[in-house]
Amino acid sequence: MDEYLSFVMVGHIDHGKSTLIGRLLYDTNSLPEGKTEEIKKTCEMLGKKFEFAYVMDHLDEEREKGITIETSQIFFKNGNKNYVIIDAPGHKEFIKNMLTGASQADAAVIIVDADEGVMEQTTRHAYLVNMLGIKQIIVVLNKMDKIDYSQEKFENLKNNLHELLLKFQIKPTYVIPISAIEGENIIKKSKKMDWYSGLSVIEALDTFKKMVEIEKMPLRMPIQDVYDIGEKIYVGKIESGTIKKGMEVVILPSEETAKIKSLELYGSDIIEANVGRSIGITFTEDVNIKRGAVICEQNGKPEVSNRITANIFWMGEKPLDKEERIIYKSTTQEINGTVEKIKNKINSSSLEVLEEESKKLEGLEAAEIIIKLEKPAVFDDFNHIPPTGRFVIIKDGIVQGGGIITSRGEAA
Amino acid sequence: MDRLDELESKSIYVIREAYKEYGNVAALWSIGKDSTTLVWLIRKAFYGKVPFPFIHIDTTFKFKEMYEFREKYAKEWGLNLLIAKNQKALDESMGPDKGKFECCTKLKTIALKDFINEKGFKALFLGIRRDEHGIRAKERYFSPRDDEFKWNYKDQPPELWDQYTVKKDNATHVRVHPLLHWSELDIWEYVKRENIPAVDLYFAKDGRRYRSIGCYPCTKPIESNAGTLDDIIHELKTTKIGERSGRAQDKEQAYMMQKLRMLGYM
Amino acid sequence: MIVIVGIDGLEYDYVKEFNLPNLMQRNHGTTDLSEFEEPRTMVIWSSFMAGKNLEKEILSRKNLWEFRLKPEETFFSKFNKHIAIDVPGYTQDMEQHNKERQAMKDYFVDKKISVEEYDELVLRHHEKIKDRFFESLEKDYDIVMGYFGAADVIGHLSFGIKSKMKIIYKEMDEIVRKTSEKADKMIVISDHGMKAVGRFGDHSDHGFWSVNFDIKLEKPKPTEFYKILADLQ
Repeated sequence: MDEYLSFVMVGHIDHGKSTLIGRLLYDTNSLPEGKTEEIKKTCEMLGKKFEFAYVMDHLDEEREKGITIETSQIFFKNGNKNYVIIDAPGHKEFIKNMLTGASQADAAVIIVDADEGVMEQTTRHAYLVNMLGIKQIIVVLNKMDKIDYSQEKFENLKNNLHELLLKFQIKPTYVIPISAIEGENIIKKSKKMDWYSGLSVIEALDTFKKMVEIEKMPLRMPIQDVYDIGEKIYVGKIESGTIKKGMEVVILPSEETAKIKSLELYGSDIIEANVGRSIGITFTEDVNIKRGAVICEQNGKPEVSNRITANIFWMGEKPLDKEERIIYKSTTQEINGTVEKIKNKINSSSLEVLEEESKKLEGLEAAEIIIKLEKPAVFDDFNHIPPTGRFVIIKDGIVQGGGIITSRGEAA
Repeated sequence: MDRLDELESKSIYVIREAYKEYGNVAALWSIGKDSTTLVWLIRKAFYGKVPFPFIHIDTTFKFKEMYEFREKYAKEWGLNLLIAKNQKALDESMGPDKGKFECCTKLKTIALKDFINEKGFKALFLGIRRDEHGIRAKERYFSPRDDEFKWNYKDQPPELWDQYTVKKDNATHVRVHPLLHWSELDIWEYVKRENIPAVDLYFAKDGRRYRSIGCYPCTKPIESNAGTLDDIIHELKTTKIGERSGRAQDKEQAYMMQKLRMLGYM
Repeated sequence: MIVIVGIDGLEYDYVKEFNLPNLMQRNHGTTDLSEFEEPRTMVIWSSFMAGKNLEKEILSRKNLWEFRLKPEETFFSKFNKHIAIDVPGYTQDMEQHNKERQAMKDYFVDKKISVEEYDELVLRHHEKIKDRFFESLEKDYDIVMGYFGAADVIGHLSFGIKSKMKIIYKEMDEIVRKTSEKADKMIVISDHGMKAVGRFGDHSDHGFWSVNFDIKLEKPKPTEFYKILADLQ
């Protein structure tokens, strides 16, 4: 089976996102057949060079008509590796769509116009991509052709960007100077930028991996539901680690211990299941488990606390107020809580700290908050185990904020 | 886990979430490859003992192979199958000859709407995929529909990670799309791996096969020699023609021929 | 030298959208086709050359494609040395025109050929005409008219694929640019424009005109150019 890697492509409007997507498809021979073939033939018959610009015209046209590329998921292949591009809209109004797309990605490509420099959406996207837990990040500085492929300008821009992002511990894996329109540093290394010794975009993508680290992490299996079909089957998805038949586990937050009698996957006999698998389990003894309990292993248990500290991003139309009652939802745990503190509020586009202590958080602002919960939650530090270290905030019945847990909440 | 396992696990997770959230649910089974895969996944999610019914919207214009398939597997799989029909429209002899759009509205949309209102289902499972059509790219896994069955795709709450909470105030029911992330090729590869039965119409006879199946007056076959699952998979890997592209172009072509004759070309 | 570049099916809206400066020349606009029952290629080109509406006469014939004007019936007779290359209703290459219409049938009715094969047939002829046209510009004619059918014939199958039509339109723009180096007075004219039907193309209800000299024209009828040309003489 071929490997698939999904990445989200984000960038300020007009920084060349669609050109880069077109270029990746064109240069890896992954363009949908049919009409582009026709265009190519027409050029040949008229003795004209088939230029990339014609392909872009065509892709733009198809997108206007809502045909191919709009399908927010674009597939292409390079060698043995299959890629899924999740095309995320650049406008501010589409931030919810951007987050929805990006939260499914293994990696991110952030595109910046080298001529215009870092723009409002660039920093916001970098911040959000990082908040979503995407660690494999490529920043491409596009339109190098417009600044004469200048190394000096590239280095300056790169340093500025690093400085800006480092404040939030965001470290892009690669920063690559490219020209999407001219095809420089996309597949092969650019001859026009021989001063650059790093990887091309596709080479950089090829180094990225899928969810590997989580597999080696300790077990976390939040219970989704309990089915009583002759015997009680506890179902859920493995968020990290591996579960095995015969394994001794601890159930949190109750601290009950139990032994796995069997793994249940309809139609298959399995004795082991890995991260990402939706599975059912049975126990050798009676246990008292409901939705929201988390099956863990003795070594490397998660935190259990009724107070958490987290970085959150707010996207509600109405602000989030201090002391406001909200619902905290992480994996299958849903707990009522109150916002106890809003600290270090920042503007997500400038990454500027607006206030050290705030009374409310407006749309598109981010902050560090402390939430007090009515019951203890089971969680991890996001940087340790991302799936159990992230949550959403539900207000008025809908998801309005997303957050990552940085530590157990200190007493307020 | 390989890619198909991942797709499967994600779908099963969505199915279990929706059932837990809404309880009173049902799944639409159109007998096509996508919804049959959905049936398969639902059976997997509930270990063969599905706690809710399946609905087939019967326009009475389906291919006979589809009715045979429905009867056979509903029985073999022990499905609680409900048939939804707009009997009133049928009694008034509604059919594609009265206009295709009108016919679809009466025999599909209204048939389903009345049926849901009558049974009071809170959520419906549908086997739609994101890669089917442009607009579907904007779909979410959980998508609320209002009284008019309308979908406000411009302002949808985000779906972060696996959190699918939706506001239910204005929604009469929620549509749940467990197959959203599958491609047409994924479906066939999974059908092959799992040995899921498929209606014969999908396999080529005399150089033609159906790529999607529905009502016989409005479904046209494509030219193809793909007679087996492997052939279909191979065909999909090599062609890039849209799944539903055939239909609209047929109409335009007919119009153009008429015009070209009038202009003296043909 | 006066040069007329006749471009079948050239659509005003595309010329504007693609922003093609050579095709637009100094003055440009659309033509008024309301006097015709349908914008038919043979009818409009013939009427353009004869300076009068020939719709009835042409339609009364069994095969309208065989209609041919005599030189004295056209504005060419006002000039000493003149040449018209492949113009429908006057000097059309019957064999090629028959082939193109057969190809259209093969595509739509019998589904025997692909778009690519169809385009190839059209563009090969286009290259031939182009050569003959530019050769004529080197000689001492008083008036030269070249007729280019590709935009229309290809447009019927592909007008809805804008990116492809843009390549054809750019080619026409380039031809006009090269022509302008030789022509003293130049008229670019189409019989009708086109509108998209899905990927295909139907005739639209207006044509395109442009000239490289000063003239006041609102929305001329194709037949009005007879007098304009006679006056240029």
